[in-house]
Amino acid sequence: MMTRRALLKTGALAVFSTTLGGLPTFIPRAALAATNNKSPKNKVLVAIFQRGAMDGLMAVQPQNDANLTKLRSGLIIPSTSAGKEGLLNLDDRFGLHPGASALHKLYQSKELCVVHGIGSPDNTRSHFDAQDYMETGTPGRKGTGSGWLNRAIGALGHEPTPFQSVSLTTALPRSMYGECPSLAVGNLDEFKVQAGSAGNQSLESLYRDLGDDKKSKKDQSQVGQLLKKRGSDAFDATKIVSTSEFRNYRPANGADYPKTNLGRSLRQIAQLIKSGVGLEIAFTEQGGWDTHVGQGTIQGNFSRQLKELSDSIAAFWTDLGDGYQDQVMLMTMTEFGRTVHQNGSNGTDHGRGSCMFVLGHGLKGGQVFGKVPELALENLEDKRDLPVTTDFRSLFCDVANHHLGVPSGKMSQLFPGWNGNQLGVFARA
Amino acid sequence: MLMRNKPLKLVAKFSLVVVPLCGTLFSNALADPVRVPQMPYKSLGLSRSQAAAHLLSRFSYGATPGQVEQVAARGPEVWFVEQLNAGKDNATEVALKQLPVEGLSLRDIASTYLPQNVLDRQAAQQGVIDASQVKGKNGPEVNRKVREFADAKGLHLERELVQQTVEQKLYRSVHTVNQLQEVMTEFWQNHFYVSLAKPQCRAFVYAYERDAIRPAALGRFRQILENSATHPAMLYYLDNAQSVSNPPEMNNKMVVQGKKKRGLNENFARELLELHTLGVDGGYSQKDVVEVARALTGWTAVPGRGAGMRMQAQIDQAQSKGQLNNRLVQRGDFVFLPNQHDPRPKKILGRNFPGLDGPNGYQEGEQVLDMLAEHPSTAQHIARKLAIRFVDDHPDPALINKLAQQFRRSHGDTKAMLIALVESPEFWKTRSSKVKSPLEYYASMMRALGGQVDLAQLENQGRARVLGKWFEKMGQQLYHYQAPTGFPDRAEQWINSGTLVSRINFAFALCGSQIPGLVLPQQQLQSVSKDLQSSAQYLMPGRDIEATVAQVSASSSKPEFFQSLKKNQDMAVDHEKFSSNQRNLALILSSPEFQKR
Repeated sequence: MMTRRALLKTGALAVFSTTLGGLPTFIPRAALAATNNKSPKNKVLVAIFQRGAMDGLMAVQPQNDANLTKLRSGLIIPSTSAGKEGLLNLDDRFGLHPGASALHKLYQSKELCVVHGIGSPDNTRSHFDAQDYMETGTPGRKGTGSGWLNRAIGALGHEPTPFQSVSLTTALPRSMYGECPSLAVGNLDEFKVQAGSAGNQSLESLYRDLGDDKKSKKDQSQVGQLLKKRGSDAFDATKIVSTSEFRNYRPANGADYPKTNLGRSLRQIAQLIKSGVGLEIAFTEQGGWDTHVGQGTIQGNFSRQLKELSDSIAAFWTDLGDGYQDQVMLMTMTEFGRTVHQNGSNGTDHGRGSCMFVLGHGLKGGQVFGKVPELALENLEDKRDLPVTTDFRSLFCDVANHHLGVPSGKMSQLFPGWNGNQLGVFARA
Repeated sequence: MLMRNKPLKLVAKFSLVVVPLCGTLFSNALADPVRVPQMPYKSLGLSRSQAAAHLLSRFSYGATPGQVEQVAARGPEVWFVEQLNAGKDNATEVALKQLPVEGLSLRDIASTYLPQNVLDRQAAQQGVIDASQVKGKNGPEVNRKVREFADAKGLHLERELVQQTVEQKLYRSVHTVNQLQEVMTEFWQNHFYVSLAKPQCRAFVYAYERDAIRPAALGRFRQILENSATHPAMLYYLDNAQSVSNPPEMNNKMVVQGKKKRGLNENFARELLELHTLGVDGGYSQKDVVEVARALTGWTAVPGRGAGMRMQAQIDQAQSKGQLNNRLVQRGDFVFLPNQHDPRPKKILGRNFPGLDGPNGYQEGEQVLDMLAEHPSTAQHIARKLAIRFVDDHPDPALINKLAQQFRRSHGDTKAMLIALVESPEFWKTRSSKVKSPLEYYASMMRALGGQVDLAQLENQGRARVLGKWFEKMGQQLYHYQAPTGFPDRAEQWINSGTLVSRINFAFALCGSQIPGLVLPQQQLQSVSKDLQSSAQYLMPGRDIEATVAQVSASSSKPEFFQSLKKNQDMAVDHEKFSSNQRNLALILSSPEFQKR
């Protein structure tokens, strides 16, 4: 296993000492944190967006609700009976889809909790609008320029580093739009300057030395300074991910990531965490949740999706191991849920409430939060959907406050115009 | 949608009024004679070629080989006036005919280019595939059947339209002779933003830029405002198409569509005030937002595809029978539905609107646009955005005030504003203070290298996707920004460690002719890039190149070895066939100096 210190010694530091004669500006703080036990380590929040709207009622199904059986007879996961696969018991009321057996273990060890009936107060059933609202953190307001994760970084007010806010997606997600520099890279293996060895060096010195030459006064300009800073970051950051330690990374503790984009993204997030490069917010996503057709039950589309998610998260958690889990919290989110009744193609259509998973230490783990009424027609939103009983912001701000350490006073910055209560998923809160 | 269900009933029940509208509304701006601007570059110590270089870097997508000298010789003022008087660009129009979408009306576009699920549904209706296969993940067999069905019917997938929407921009930015018009088209498109990211308006974005923005890009603000507010792309992007008067004002005649209740939707009204006109601190309240939304109820579109065509057919039929009798407000794809309009009085920004009934209700929206276009906050807001776009991320307040005055004096004449810009000393004092957006970076490289965008090659088997991916990695997936703000226009938006790495790699891939669809005159380039000095002079005429050349030469004598990505990896640059000349060009293009404009 590559420890943070090992990388700093043999990897990144070695590169810097031989080629640059200096440390990148963001390393000392991280290195200091690694050597000084008193200084608290960075907290890291990992967000996974399940695009397409996950059917929360299939992921975490109310047990023994006759209404549900009536409305979606073809989409019911049976209870576990002798020798037969079925719902994994969460509590008296709910069972977890067996595809998520890896998450079930984390639930049993009280590291994972579920929030059910969660969603947006805005009742749009458009993917675009609902994702927009969830990512900006301002339901009903389209004009919000920035994303809530970016504002969270801003509210923390830490010195920026190139890896402080990273999205493992090609394009920057809406959640990370905003003032604070965020890095979007689909795959860190491809994060390289490809100008050739001498070319890279030429460019590196060009960017690094901008404004240092007294003759070129102009590069004292803001643009010059920005290019100098981000250029230096770019060369530092690409060097870190091209060290042999980074490239030949072997997940710790026998962690086995699914060989999918999501699996790779989470593995690379784990690598960044362990490298001590100042990661605070990581984002990635999983598409394919828009199950209008042939959703399946124990097997099938939905099950495959959920298994990939669950196995990826569990591998990530195993990989982090005792050394890093305390620092990290992982949260899933999805734009809305799906209709309680099944449609004509053995699938479900766009609905309202869904569920989210939260993983980390210090949580009231092993619990299902939120209110899910008995699924009688009159209890449903518009007589069709699981009603939203928990505003997603009450979970997001809970996590931002208690995990990341964004002060309560800055919550209005994160979620302007909202003053609801935090959900209370933390044990020490 | 209401009209999908019972369009004829709608028409008959309220016997709408067709009001003939003024024919000039959609035509180009009034042709004011352009006066020759007095550019103060000389008194500020700039040479003519420095002035030409600066002017070209800000008001075009970059200089082509020899253009700086040319413009300097003829006079920067002459070039600028020519650009303001943009005429027809025949060569570009001819070249763009290679794109199948070019020349199709909005409705034809919308009914020809269909999302996969719509295409599946049509195929199922014709019995080509089974109804259960609609919207699913289908195997190759089903997909083949749908494809054959589409070919037979002349239908296409919507993603081909998305691709062409991007391709025309990639072409125009590099090749059009009307560079300033294209720059202003981008400016206004980004101001009155609509996005391909939203499925509901995706089919209309191409026509939006072509019909509503480009023809008016050098015209009056009021005109562009109206073009945008009445275009299906905007009506669907910000939901005004679905906004109907709330029940109480409708005397409890609830508008019901299926199980869904419909009512007032404030989205467009809010962005109209916040983003399009007054600006966020422009002095309006939440109450104003609601009142503007009420004034704009009934502003909707005859959409493309089936529902819209059925609606149009019924309108036409009723009209031909004389049943409508001048009772419907329709202009192209825009339609005003009086029965969805809130006829009650309103108070907007302190002014009382008595409330108009029937087809006259349309005038209320027009009056609101008039009022907003003439509002001092709008002048200030647009002035600020222009100053940021063309001068500096943090423009001098004195410059903003000057431009705002010009906006008010000229009633929002874009040309007058642009002239005021180049007559201001602030413009000439801020050379290289802006960072190029990825589009500007791409186009300026292509223009500097004398490259050619090969549309046929881009169109071929979706090869435009490679280029699209590069743009995504550089941080500007064209037309896909999700927020109605449009892409933020500031250096920090474009430059971070990730996008910078992609920019450098893009320059190398481009110079090595490794991007499908982008063709470089390699032989000619070989003769001008013998060393760094000549490469830099060729690519950045009129700019400060000493530092760049000195730095690069100092460290480039070292032996070169390449550590490329694996060839199958995305965006890998293949260095094997790289000549030292190509390398010189790529180094100059990826230098910090070339990132600026």
